Amino acid sequence: MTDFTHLHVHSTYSPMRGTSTVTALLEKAQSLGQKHLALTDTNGLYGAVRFVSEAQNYGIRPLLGAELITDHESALALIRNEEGYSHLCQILSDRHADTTFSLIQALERWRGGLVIISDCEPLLRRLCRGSRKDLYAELSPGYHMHAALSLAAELRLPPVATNRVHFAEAPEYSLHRLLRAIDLNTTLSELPESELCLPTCDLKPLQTLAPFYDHAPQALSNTQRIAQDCMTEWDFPELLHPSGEDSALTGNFEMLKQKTYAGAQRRYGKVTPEVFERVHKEFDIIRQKHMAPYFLTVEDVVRHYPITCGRGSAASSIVAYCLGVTHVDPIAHKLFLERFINLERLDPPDIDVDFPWDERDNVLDRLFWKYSSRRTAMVCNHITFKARSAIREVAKVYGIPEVEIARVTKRISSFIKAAGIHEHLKNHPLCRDLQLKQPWPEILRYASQLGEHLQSLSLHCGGVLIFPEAIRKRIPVEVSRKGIPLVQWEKDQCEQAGLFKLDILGNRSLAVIRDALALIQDNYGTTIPYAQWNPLEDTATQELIRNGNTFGCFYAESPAMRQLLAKMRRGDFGHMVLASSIIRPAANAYIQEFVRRLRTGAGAPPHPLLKEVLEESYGIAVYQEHITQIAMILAGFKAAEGEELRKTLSKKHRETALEAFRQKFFHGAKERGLHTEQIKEIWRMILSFSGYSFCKAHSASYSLVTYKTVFLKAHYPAEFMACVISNQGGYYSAQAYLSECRRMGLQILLPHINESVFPYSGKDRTVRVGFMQIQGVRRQAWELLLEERSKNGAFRDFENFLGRTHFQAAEIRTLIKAGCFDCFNLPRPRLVWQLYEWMYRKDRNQSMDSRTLFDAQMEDLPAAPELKQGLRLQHERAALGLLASCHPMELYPEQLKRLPFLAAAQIHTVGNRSPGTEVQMAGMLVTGKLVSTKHGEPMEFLTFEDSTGIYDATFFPQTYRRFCRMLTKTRPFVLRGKLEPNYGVVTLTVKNAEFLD
Amino acid sequence: MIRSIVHLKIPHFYVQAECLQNPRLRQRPVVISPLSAERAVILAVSPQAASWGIRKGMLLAQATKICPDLKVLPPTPQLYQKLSERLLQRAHRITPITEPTRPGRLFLDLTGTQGLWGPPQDAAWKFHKELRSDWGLFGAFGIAGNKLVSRIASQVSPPLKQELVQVPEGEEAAFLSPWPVSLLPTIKQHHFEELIEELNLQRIRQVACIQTQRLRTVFGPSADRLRRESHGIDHTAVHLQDQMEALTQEHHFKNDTNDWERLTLQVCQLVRDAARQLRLKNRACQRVRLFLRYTDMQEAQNTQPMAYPSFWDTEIEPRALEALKRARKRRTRIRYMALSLEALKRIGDVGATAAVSSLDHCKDGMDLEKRQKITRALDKIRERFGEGVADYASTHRHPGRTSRHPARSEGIFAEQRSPRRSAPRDDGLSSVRNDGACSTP
Repeated sequence: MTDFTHLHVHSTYSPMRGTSTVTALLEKAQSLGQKHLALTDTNGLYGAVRFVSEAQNYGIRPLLGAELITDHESALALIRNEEGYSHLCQILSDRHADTTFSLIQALERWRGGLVIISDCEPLLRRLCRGSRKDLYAELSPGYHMHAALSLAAELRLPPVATNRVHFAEAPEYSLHRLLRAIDLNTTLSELPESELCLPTCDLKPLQTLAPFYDHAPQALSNTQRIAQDCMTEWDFPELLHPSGEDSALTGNFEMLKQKTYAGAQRRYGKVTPEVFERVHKEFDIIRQKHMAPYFLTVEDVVRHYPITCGRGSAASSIVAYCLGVTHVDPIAHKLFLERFINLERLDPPDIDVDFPWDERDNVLDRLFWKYSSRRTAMVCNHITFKARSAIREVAKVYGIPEVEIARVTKRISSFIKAAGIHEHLKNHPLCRDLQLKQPWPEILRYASQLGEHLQSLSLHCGGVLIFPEAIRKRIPVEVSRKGIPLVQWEKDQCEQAGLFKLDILGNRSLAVIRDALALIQDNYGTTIPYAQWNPLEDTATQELIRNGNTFGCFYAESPAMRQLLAKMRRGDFGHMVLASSIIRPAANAYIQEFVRRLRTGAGAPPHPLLKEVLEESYGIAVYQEHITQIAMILAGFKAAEGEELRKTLSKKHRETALEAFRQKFFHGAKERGLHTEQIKEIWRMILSFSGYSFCKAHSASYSLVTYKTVFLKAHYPAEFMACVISNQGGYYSAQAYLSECRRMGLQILLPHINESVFPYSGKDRTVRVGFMQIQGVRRQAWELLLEERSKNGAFRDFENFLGRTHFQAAEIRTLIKAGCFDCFNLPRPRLVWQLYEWMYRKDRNQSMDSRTLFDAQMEDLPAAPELKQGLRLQHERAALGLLASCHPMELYPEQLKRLPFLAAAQIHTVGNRSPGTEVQMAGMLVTGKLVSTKHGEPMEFLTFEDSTGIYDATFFPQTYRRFCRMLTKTRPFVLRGKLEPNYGVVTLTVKNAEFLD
Repeated sequence: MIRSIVHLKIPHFYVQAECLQNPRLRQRPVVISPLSAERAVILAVSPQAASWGIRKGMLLAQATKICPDLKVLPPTPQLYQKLSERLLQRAHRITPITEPTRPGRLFLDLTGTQGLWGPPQDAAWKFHKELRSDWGLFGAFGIAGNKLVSRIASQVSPPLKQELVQVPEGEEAAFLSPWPVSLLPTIKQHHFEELIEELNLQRIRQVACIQTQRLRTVFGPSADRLRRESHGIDHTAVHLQDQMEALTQEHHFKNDTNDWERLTLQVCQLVRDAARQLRLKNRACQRVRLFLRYTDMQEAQNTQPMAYPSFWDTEIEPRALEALKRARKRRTRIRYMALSLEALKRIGDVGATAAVSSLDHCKDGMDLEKRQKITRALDKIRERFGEGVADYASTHRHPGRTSRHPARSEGIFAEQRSPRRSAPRDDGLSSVRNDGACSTP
């Protein structure tokens, strides 16, 4: 029997069509004894890099191509050579970007290097006018096979057999239908058949397929011919950067040298031999790695947008520091350069720069303008399914209403993978009483089968690729909704393919700093220069950090971080850098030990050889470079291997690679005389860097921003807090920040039609709610109001406001509810009467100029008593989405009077004086962090606040199981439990919780 | 002549009807909901169950979790239908002018019956006493000079101490004055609740003392009606059942569904039942309205005009299906649907030929006489042997939905996609109403 290769295969990378992962397809192909396998996803090469690398593990030669589909035409294109790759990228890019795209025309133009297989008659007839070389007629069982065969005979084209594989195994057909229904926003019963593949489109063995081709056996053998012809050796770095190309970026080494020297003068004043030596060391590496243009590109951007924070390992570069890309002195803070660049490192280093979140688009615009959209594109994210989204989408197909879906999904953390749905629902206490009747079991069964299925592409938060020539010839490019070109590969595949990328990231806190500096300048005329500003030695700043009083401050405001800082009792920069690095997901076990060693001075590194490396971090591995160094010192890893281990720890698909490193590490460490227990302990420490972790340079860079925000909080609290709320997106809600303002002794004022501006504003000791907080009012109407107010002055009274602005009646009612017109001293119901009276007259074109008449009419309005306080607060909450006039707990004075409560402000005093005291506390839930114990039981650290202060409470597994279902931010709680001090920080270990109302 | 309108309101009508069958249920929390359905929702709630926070439309599973002692009864439409008919018959003993609005709600026009039954309050009182002592039903009676005030009077009667509230002629405004503004129908119909709260208008008297001109600035065209209502003025007549302008056939799905085939089959079923009613009453409809309520209580509807008045299933069905297609814009499951055949004309009014001549257009080529005969014969069979014993094949499988690939029906939902051989009616609650309104119990 002839051999056969599947040439038409879709994986999960065919958006909302293919159901099997590339691994599952390769596994099945291997079991069928296939030597080649093609991956031809719909209109894309979305998984090309991964498929090629996975195919190596299965000993299968990978063919790449794509199924090109438009509304009326379709064809399969397989890559024969480099030219074909470039042409396919061009066709795919045009397919996504060009609204007038014609597949026939594209193939006529870019056919070189491609094998074209199709059963689309007009397309084949047209292409036959040219060469018949590499042109085939596609014969698939169930797809008008006989018509295709007769067409092949008529056009004298060789037939080729495919099974249009959409899944590895036939039962996955139902999943395919489900994906199509999700994609088309319809129900299973209304799915048009034209949108589905056949139920028989699985990866079938030759024996099953052969009987379909008894009358055309050459169709089977032709698959082999094509497989032999096509490209199966893939070197992506070479494909993407063909040798001999000049760098994509402008600028040269000499220019870099000049700018660095000038920067060194500016930064250091006098260039010391140490600085000189470090600069030259970096120059050597930069020159050898041809990275000068890369540095100069970043420098060009930051020169135009100076409020930045160079983050990541690049902060260890003195060149970046001198160029103004980063702001932490790598010499003073002993930052390890090799983590950023070294000559052994094969993958390209990244320079990641944070910009104020609202300037990021401008920065991108500049890059796209300077290097042109032809050569520039952004990295994409592959949007796939996690547990929540999988359940939501499947349930929508089954017609379940949103509220009912939310009842299930709100009990599932956003981190849970789709495959883990059943385990989560079975074991998590939040789901204990979730009795799900049909069709829910079916929905969950299907949802748990979704996972890596590509839904769509979105923009990566900052990765920008710049190419020396048209990017469309190198990678397929699509266009995002915002109109930005983006490549079809996500970050991991881009890195694997050896692409250089710039990371332009948005950061809210930089915008907070920028806005606060502007406010300070406006309010007091004080100028603080961002680049030269050094708050590290400021006493008030250090004091706030020492006390963990960092609510609202960048990177230090989470409850865990505030507690850690308060336990450390250190305000210096070095310790801040340590703290911001040890706070990471997998390092919980080491944090307590770190504090113990810091406060008691006791403790030693896990091995004497590590003494020097881990000295500054009290013998505990804290920074990413510690992993590399430990692996090098204890297990004889090379620097590049150590780096690879570090990178593997943070990857998604890491199991196989990590196991290999584990064995190597254990073997190497044993050879150096370490005993098993010792090695296991050190390996555990290495694993604590799973998920994400930081290098010292990054932590130092971020800590500097932290210091700047803490400085502002210490010296300009009103301005700072106003900017924190205005820039949104902080760790807490606006309501929680307003409570913090109260705790800081600031006065909060409601929006004022003559005094408020769009964002929150702060001056001296008052914070005024900005118009931005008012819900449901058009931004454009605000802009017109502010323009009118600045041009013609404040509004004299309500009628004056009505006459000069362009709000709709519903919007003005919201403004009334928000308290914008309380300054006019009229009851709010009267304002509503006036509003409608005015609108009525306006609609009838009655003269507004006749003030006497209007006033007379206003006099005559029905008596309108003022609303009761309770209703006013209700309206305020509806209009602003929060309570600004008072703390939410103040709504329950009666209930609070009834029982004795320990005020939050007293918790540390009482808890430190009498540890273990049983108390009762009241409070609103502010935030929570769900974690698992080492036995896998869920528990939660929650933060509550009453009108006097904020406190942290721990719900251990047993308590959490009992009360997790009642935890909400909308109702006040009464908590009973024990006060437990830990290095001076007191938390409440909760035993009982109930609602106060 | 002084009008005397009585409004009878039997709260928790379905539950009370069930309690008549089983009086031991009176003190227990009771709900009515299909028992065997996986996704059953609650159709009616007893006051005891309501005190547990159980509400109409809630999922049954959720309600039983809140109140473990909950007694769940399956709906028995025949019982409610029978009780409604008995109530109507009893009302007809006093006056022929009655208007049932919803199950357990009834207007009686007692104007001019004083000579026969004495003062209207006596007749109402007698009815009230009979309901309570002989029937065991608790009902509230409102007596006033118009429908609006009599209805509000029956509404404000304290629950479970259902009494008779009479508003003497000329005292309508004074009676209404202390009650909340939200009782006025205009407020609810036009969603003015938020506005009256912002204007701090709490009692009806506050609205009554505002000039119409002022009200107009805020409430627009509804101002006149609002002012009339606040003064207790309502001139609408009690509509006789015989004067009906629409016929409504409704269906509660036992298990909500978004399966297209099930929905279309149910529409066909409703058309069949409603058209038969039309033929019985010798009416033809000129308009078809389909009302849908999704599981999340959102509503949608669509109206399709008929080319000419008709009472034939085959002509109404395409319009009803078109209305379904247009009304259904979401994929959320549907819990309830109501088909209203509107703008009814007596066959005599429009001319018998107009109503039936359309049969000439039958696509299947069947002649007028033959089709007429078959439909009439079907009507007779149903009358004699019950619903569902014989039907058109087309109401059982929707045309044009055959699967090109047989294997497709083996996928998920194969059960729902397979052609049905038995009648499509799910065991939900179906009923017919004569008012044309699409509100449901």
